[in-house]
Amino acid sequence: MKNLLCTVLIILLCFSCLVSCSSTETDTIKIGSVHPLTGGMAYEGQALVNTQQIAIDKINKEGGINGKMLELVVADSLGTVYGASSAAQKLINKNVIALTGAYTSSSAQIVSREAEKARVPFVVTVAASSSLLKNGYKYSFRIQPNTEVFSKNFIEYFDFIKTEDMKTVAFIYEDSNYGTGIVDFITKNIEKTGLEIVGSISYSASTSTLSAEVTRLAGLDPDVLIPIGYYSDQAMLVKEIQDRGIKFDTIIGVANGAISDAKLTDIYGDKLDGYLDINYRYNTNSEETKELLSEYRLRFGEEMPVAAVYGYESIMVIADALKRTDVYEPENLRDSLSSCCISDHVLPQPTIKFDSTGEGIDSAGVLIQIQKGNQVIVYPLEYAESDYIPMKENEE
Amino acid sequence: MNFQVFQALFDGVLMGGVYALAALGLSLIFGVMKITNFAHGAMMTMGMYVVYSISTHFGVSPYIALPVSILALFIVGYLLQRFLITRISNAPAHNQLLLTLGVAYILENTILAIFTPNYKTLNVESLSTAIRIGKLTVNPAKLIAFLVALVVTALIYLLLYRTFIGKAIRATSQERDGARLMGIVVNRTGAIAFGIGALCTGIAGALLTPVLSIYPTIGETFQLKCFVIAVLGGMGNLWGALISGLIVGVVEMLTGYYLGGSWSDFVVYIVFVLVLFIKPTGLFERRNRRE
Repeated sequence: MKNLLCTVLIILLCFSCLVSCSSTETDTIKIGSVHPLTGGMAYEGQALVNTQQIAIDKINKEGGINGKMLELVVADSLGTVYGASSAAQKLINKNVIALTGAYTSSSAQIVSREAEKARVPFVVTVAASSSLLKNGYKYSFRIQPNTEVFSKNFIEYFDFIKTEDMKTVAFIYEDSNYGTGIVDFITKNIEKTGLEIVGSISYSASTSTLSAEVTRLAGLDPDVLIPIGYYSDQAMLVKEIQDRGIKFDTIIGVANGAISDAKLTDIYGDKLDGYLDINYRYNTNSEETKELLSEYRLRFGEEMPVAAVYGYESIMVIADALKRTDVYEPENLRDSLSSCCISDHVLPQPTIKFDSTGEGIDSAGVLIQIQKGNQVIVYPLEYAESDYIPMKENEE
Repeated sequence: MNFQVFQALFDGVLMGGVYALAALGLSLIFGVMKITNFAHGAMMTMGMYVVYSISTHFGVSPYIALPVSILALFIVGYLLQRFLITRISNAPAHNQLLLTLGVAYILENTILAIFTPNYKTLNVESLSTAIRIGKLTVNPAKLIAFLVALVVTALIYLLLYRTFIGKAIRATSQERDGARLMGIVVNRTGAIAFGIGALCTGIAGALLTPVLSIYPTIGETFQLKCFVIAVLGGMGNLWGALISGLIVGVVEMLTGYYLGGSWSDFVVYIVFVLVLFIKPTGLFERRNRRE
């Protein structure tokens, strides 16, 4: 057994050494990217890297950073904590000026620790756990809203859609930090919504079925259903609900990986009209967003997944900070990032700037609804693309 | 009984049938070759992608694509045994394990390279809209999957117990050298058995394609489940795999219903450990093994 374990470990080691991207140029500024490029989360990881490359090409085309070109150095996190840690170390050894990553909160946690040890700034692309920046680290920054912000957004935005006949609520959520974090927060603050919780069902994100859970939900018949999870599991949930023709008066996801994803509406068309989700999104009123979306379509032949917007913005934020320093060293970049204030960007929020913990001050989710088979922002009103339509009205 | 519980039970039986078929392949391969096939999950994924690509490319029903998937998996299984595994059939068990693990990586990464890591969904409306029987809702794709799984299991049974090649496979599994002395070409027989095991898995994958969003590493979700079912049923036991597949399906659904899916694996493994504790050889020992 010991032999077996050793052999497996050696093989794994060899595999991780194989993943390498070499560059000997010294006149470029290297930015490291730690994302899952293999495994179950490879799709999202790759999409983030794609938009990062778009951002890098855009900056380089416009002359780079005072003449110096940017270069993206990518390392596969394998979607695991171990993989993320070794990917981060590898990139640090390649003298990247900053790290970006990591799609999952557990991976981001380990990358932030490596970054802190090496004194290299780390800009989180996607990782929602609210505990991520609570270690007192000085080198980590996050643009996207965390789970606590999403949960607060829910309490706030729910007021906007609330009607008299919404009395009961049930959760169906994946059981990692991300799902449980959101459910815990909303549960603690549930009296602010005036709802009564009738069910709270968790499942593992790698599940192969959710039929029993949906049967249970149908029995509970809540007025409001709050689903929280990643794409494949939540798509399975939506499929189960749709296939069996089960009706819920209101479905409002919080940071839901499927409802806000165009892949889902590609499958169902307008059948999901009325579904709501509180999530991050790009600001469609911005010209830069339109450019990014069409560039993505052009290069990769599909719609850009929403989360990928943070890959793009992470590079933009680093580039902005680099432009404001004279010495291209991690330490200077960190100082520059902490004083960042960008008002010209692709997100539906006023500015991008960080508080002392590195958390984005203005970061917030928006209320998204599926209308005529497309995801549109319906709240806050200054970013709204369309009016909110109660789910029931679609069924009539 | 609460009607909802009945619905969950029913869904568990349907899903269990498909699990059983997937595990049957693993069980058969182990029974004959004494090899634990770690490429099992990846083979299942392959079955899914074959059906997905034929079905979307030619716009045909996934069940028309099924035979292609069967053939493809049989060939992969056959060649794998014939040219790779035979070479190390006398090597220590962990080397064989690593070989199949390597094959799993190759299969998964080939799929990754061809199809990208993106989720693919084969949405056939006529297959997914639930049929209502009274209050019971039945997903047609899952019902078909269950029925096909039963038929395939029965066919495999007939093949093993009513045909010459079946007899040869059973002889090989019982006493390799004895079978060789009786004039059975052991290598070819092993390869055929491996091919049949692989195609069972392929069918299970293909049947699940209309039910799931597929991605290159989806097989990993089923890999461990198949092991549990195969061991629970007694490695190499056909009907054992079927019964324990149903047990796992039902336990999973009922746990999902009462406690939520987070507990499913936990409860399944508790059942697994308890069974092994009481009956270390699995629920059903192989009838044809003479210890």
